[in-house]
Amino acid sequence: MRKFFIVTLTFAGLWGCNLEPQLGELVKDMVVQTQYDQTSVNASQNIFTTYATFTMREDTLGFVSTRYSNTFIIDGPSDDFVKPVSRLVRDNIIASGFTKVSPSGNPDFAVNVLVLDNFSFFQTIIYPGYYAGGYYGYYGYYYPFVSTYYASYGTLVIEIVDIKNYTANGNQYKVIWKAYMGDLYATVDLKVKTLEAISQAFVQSPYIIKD
Amino acid sequence: MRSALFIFFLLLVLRLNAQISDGALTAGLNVMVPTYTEFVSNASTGFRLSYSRFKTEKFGWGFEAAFNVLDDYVPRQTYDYPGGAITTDVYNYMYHLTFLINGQYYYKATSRLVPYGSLGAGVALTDYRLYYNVYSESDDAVGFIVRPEAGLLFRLKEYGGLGLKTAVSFEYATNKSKAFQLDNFSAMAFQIGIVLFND
Repeated sequence: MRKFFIVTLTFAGLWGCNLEPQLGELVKDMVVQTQYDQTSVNASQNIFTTYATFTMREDTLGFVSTRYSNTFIIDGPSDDFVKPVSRLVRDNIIASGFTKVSPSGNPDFAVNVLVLDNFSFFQTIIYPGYYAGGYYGYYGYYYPFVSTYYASYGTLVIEIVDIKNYTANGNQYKVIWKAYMGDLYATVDLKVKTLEAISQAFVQSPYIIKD
Repeated sequence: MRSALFIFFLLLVLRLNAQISDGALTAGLNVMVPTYTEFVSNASTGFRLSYSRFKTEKFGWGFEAAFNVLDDYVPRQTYDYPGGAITTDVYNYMYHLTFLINGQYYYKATSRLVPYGSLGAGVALTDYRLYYNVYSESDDAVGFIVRPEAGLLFRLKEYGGLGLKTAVSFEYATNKSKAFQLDNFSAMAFQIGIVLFND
């Protein structure tokens, strides 16, 4: 009987299969998810072709958290993360044919860039389609919320908000495009992988183009 | 002399017709190769534990449990869907646990080598899981499973308690995943194990 158990344990040791993939392999690239408003972009129309100008902040990123302020991502030297991220977002939109103007320059749409901390958004997010109060800025009551969250995730969000059709939308600012990129905390290279993810977000959204 | 000869032949006949053992406990590796490869396609080395009860020299029954983790890797690509798209690479994992009872037929019962065939049926519990970056999604399924098998039992020593088992089997499980649009699962399995005979 003793031999049997020794050999059995040897087999069990030889077994040694992986019960989960290796974290290093999992996080070598970020997940990039984009969503567009299907009433604004569809087979019969593309609202982006009606736009010409946009506005966005480049000096800081928004930060939304469900817990204590773990803001190290946006608190570091701005050249490390904030500026490269906001510049690449800006450059991609400009490359699509749009012109950046100041917030007072009557832009057609606004671009918000923010970090969600401790939210699990993939599949579970309930994201408002409209902002009731304002369209621009990083503080206030118009950020997304989720039905559940269960882990410490960090997600970069880019959103495009329709300003041009504010009145037509019942005096509300409609979110017409969103991009989620994560995970920011587990990535092997925060800056490089985030920039790659931003570029991918625009690659998989070819409808963001000026007529 | 005639009596001695009679007793010798009687013992020989009894020996040839005697059942292999009272029972046998087997533990070993279970190498599974999926034949339904929609979700996972890589071979997996798992673990199988079984007990056989030898009722006669030809027939027996048993029960067994096996566990395998099968996986596959889908390289990074973009998936378009109504209203958006997602780009990621995905690791598909399938955790497959089976419990079966079986009937066994022994083709030739020598003292050390026993070829056999068996047919088992039972329940299969499957957890389908997608891993992408730090996120995961899963779906569970419970189904019916059948497993025909052919194998060899081999005693290491005459009258010894230890032996080896090798077997090849095919299994078909009715487990499906509606969430991942997966159909019934099937696989070939190769087993090698150590046997403890209970005489």
